[in-house]
Order: sequence, then structure tokens, then C-alpha cells
Amino acid sequence: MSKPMVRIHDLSTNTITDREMTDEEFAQYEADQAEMAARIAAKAAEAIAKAALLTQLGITEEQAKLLLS
Amino acid sequence: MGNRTLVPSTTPGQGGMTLISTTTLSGATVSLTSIPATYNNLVVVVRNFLPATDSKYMLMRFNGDSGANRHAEGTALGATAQTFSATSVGISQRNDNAVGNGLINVEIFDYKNTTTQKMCRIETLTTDPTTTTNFGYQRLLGFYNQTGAISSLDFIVESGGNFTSGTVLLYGVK
Repeated sequence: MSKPMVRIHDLSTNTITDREMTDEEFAQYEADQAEMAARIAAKAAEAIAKAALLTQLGITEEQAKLLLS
Repeated sequence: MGNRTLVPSTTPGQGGMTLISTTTLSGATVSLTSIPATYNNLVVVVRNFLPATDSKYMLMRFNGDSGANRHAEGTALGATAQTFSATSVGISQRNDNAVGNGLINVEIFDYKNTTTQKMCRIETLTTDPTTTTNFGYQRLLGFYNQTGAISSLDFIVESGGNFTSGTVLLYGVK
């Protein structure tokens, strides 16, 4: 299976190279996916916590925005 | 008090933006390398970012540095005791994969100094992935905790996606 492509624009020569990721780059690429998944999960958890707080306060998101504006 | 006369500045090379490069987004990662160290600030403009997969956002990484806990971002007006906890900085909201009318502006300050951590200001307008006549926006700051000069920038699609299209323009600001 081929690896994802990378585009490298060398500004010193204005040369653009398209090539497959190296093994090292691919390993980092996979590690990035894990980090991004964690980041997305954290944002989702934050949204849930925010919704719970609004419920606790008994106000809507629009009312909260109005309060903070 | 006598009359005063305004004298125009004679300092050459002050102000103004110079287009350094134009690069079409393609593949999973786009890297701008060997950024000239001849400006004070850099401005990155991304036009019409279009991810191959719907509802993905775009990230930027300084100096190809994927070391853990070196990048961070913040949306609050002010904050203390922040931690560096990422390997890149988000530079857009989620974008549709068919309509890409968005615009991203990133200003990287004092990028070539070798004594401070680095910072950028990010402003984004993206096409809403659910209703493409709607839009998303974000204003945030990005941070990088290394002190070396910035000589390269990587652009990445969230969660291993590919770029369908879009253009990155890099400007140098004197």
C-alpha cells in the first residue's frame, strides 16, 4: 500500500517536489492522528461540560452569549 | 510655539509586504522550506482550503517540529499557566469538502529571532460543512516554545486527510 503524499516547496530554489512519505514521516503522520483524535475528544468533552453547565444554570446558549457580550 | 513641518521618513525598506511564494495545497502535508530570514514578520494567507474529507480543519506546524508538547493555541483574551500540549496549531474551523470559499490569515511575529519562543495570530473564515451558505470563523493565537528561527512551515489536514485544493501565499513583512 502506498503512503500518503507530501508536497515540499523549497523557497530557496522555488522547487516543488511531490513524493510519498518516508517511513519516518509516516510514523509521525500516524502519531499525529492519535494526537488529533485526543484533541477532538477533549473538545467534545468540553462541549458536553458546557451543555451541562447551561442546563445547571437554566439558560440557553444564546442567553449565555448575550450575558458575555 | 513656532510652526512645525512634517518630514517624511527617509528610512528605506520600512513597511510593505512582499510575496515570497505561492503553493497549491496537495497531498497530506505541504511544507514550505528554506523560508528567507530577511523580513521582520511573516504572513500566511490560505485561500479556498478544501479538504478531501468533509468537515476537517487545517493545522500548521513550525519548523517541521513534531516533538511532543511544543505547540499550543489559545482563544481567550488572556490566560495564565498555559501548557504546551500539541504538535501543531489549528488554523481553521472545520470546512466543507466541496465548497471552499474560505480565507485564512496567519501573522507570525519576529520569526527569525533566536532568543524567544514564537507566536502567531490566526484569523479564519471557513465554509460550514453542513450548510455551505453558512460560515465558521475563529480568532486565536498560536504558540511554539522553541527559540530557533522559523525556517519552515508545514500545513496538515486534521486526522490524516488530504488536501483537495487551496492556495498558500507566504508574504514577508518588513
